[in-house]
Amino acid sequence: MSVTPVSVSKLKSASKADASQQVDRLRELMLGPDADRVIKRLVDKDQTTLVADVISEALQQRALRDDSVSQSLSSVVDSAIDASIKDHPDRITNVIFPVMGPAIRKAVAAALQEMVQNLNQVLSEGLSFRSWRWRIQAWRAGKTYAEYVLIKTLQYRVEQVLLIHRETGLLLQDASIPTLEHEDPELVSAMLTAINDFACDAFHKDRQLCVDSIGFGDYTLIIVAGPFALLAGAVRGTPTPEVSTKLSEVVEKIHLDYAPLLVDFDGDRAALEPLQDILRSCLLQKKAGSRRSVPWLAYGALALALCGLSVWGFNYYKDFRQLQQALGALEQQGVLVLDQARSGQSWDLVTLRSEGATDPQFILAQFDLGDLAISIDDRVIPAIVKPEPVAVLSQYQQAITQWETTVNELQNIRLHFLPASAQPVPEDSALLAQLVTKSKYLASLADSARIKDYQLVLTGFADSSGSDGTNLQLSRERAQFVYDHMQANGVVAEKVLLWGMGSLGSAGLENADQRLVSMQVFYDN
Amino acid sequence: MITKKICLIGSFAVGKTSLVRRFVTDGFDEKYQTTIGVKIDKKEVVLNDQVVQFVIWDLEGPDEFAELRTTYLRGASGYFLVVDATRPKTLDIARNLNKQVRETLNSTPFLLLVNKTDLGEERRISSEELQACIDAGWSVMETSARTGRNVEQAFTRLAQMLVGDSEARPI
Repeated sequence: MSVTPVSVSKLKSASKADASQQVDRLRELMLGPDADRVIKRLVDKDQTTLVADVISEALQQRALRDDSVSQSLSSVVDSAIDASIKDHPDRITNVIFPVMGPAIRKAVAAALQEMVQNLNQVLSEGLSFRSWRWRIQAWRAGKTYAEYVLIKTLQYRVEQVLLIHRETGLLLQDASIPTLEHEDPELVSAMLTAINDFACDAFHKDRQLCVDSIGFGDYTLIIVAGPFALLAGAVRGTPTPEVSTKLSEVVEKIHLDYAPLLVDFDGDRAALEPLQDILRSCLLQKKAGSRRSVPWLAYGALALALCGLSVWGFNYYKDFRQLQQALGALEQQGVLVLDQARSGQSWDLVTLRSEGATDPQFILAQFDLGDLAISIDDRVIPAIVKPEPVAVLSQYQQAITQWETTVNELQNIRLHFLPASAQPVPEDSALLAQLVTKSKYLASLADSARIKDYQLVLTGFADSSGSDGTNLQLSRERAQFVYDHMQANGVVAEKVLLWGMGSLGSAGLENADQRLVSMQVFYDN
Repeated sequence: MITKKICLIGSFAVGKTSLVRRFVTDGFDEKYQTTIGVKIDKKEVVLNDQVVQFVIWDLEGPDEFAELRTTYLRGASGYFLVVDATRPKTLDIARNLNKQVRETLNSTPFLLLVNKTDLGEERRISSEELQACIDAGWSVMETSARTGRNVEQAFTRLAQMLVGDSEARPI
C-alpha cells in the first residue's frame, strides 16, 4: 500500500487535532467541567505568590528612587486610619497613650522656652535704644513700626507665590501669608506674563526662556519656569539660593504630578486646588542673624523681679518678727491680746489687762515698729491679784465668753404652756430641763467670769382669750411653775425672781405663742 | 468658575481701553490716554449659573511706530477687533491685524466691534463695508463706550462664543 505525501500530511494534521481533543478531554476528566476556571485560578494564585515574594523589596527600591510610593499610599493610609479610629477609638487611644505624656512635656517645655524667648524679644525690642531708633526711622520712612522691624530683622520672607499657566498667563493657584495685603493675583499673573513676553520680544530670545527675577524696592520676584507653568515668588528682603531651590523643586513636583492637567488647562482651576498646600510650603522666611542667643534680658528681668521679691519678703519677715516680739512682750507683762488685725501700715489690737498691768501702748513703744500705725482697744478689769499673769486673764476671758453665750441661750428659751393652764406643753419639757441646766451652769461661771452679782428673772405671759385679771393670775402661775421646778432641781432660789405680765394682746402672735415663760438675766461685772 | 483670557485689538484710539473701562467699571473718560504695551483687567460674566471670569488684555494699538505684539495674544480664548466708526482706515487696519492674529490664534472666536457709534453724523464706515465683513463670516456689533451701547452685550456674546452658551449676563 502506497501513501502519498499529501495523505501523510492530512493524517498528521488529523492526528494532531485528535491529540489536542484528547488532551482537552483528559483535562476535563481530571479537573471537571470548570477546568478553564480552575487553571486560571491556579495561575492567578501563582502570580499572587510571585508578587508577595517581591513586594517588600520592590517598594523599598522604589522608595529609594522617589517618593511616589508614599504619595500613592498616603490617601489609602489616611482612609484606613480614619476607618480604624472610627471603628476602634479605644485602640488608637491605647496606642498613642505612651507617647502622649512625653509629647505633652516636650510641648510644655517648648512653650516655656518660646515664652522666655518672646519675653526677651519684647524687652529687647521695646526697651532698647535700637528699638527707639527704629521707631523714629519708621516714622520718618512713613512705615509702621511692625513693618520696619520686619524689614530690619528678616533676611527674607516669601510673602506670596503664584503658579501661572505658561501658555495663557492665567493664574492656576496662589498662596500668600495671611496678613498680607496684595494685588489681585489674577492681574499680577497676567502682568508677569506680559512682562516676560515683552522681554522675550524685545531681546529676541527663545520664548521658552523666561525672566528669572525682578527687583523692586524691598521685593525680589523670583520666577522659576517649567514647561507648562511658571512659579513666581514675591520675596521681601534678600533671598538666599535656598528660595530658588525650593521653588524649582516645587515646580518639578507640580509638573510630575499634574502635567496632564497643566497641558489641557481650559481655565477651570478646581482640579488644581490640592496645589495650595504645596505652594504654601514655599512661603519660607529667614530671620537675619536668627541664631538662638542666650536671652540675657529675660534672665535679667527675672533676676530683678526675684531680687525685688526677696527684699520685700525680707522686710515682711522682719516686720513679722518685730510684731511677734511685741506680742510676746505684751503677754509677758500681763496683757492679753484678744484680737489683732494687720492691714497695710495699720495694726489694730484688742487687749485685756488687769488694773495693775502696764499700758500696752507703753510696752509697744519700746519696739521699732517703723511707720506702723497702732490702734489699741485696751480693756481693763479689776485685779484680784496684782499683777495678774496672762494665764489668769486668759481663763477670765474664756469664762466671760462662756457666760455671755449661756446668757444668750437662756434668754432665747421660750417655754410654751397649755391653754388656761400652768402646765407646759409636753414638747417643751426638754426646754424646761435646759433652763435648769443652763441656770446652774451660769452659777458655776459667775466667779471665774468675775460677775459681782446676777439675777434670773422669769416672766410669765398669757394669751388674750381671758380677762385681764385671769390672765395676770395665769401668767404668774406659769412663772411660778417654772420657778418651783428650778428650785426643786437645785437652782439657788434667791437668784431667781418671777412675775406675771398677763396678756400682751397686741404682739401679733398666735394665742399658742403668747402662752409662755421666758427668762431675762441681769448681771453686774 | 472658569477663567478665559481675551484680547482687544485694533488701531490706536479706536476706544479699546474705553470699552474695557465701560465694561469693568461702567465708566468713561473723555480724555484720551494712549495705552503703552498692555493693560490688563478682569471681570466675571455668568452664563447659566456658570461663572466665566475674563482676564482682559487691552493691547496697545499699533501705529506707524509700533507693531502688534502677537506674543501677547498667546493663550487667548477669544478677542475683539475694534474699529472706529468715524475712521474707515481703522477697518483696513483691523483686516490686516486679523491676518496677523489668525497666524497665532488660528480659529479662535472673535467679534468685530464698530465703536464710537454715538458720533452719528461723523460716521464714515458704511454698512456695505460691514456687510462685506459679515459675508466673510465675521461677527459684527456696533458699540459706544461713551453711552455704553452694546458694550455688555458684546462681552456677553463673546462669552457665549467661548463657552457655547446661549444665555449670559455680566455680574
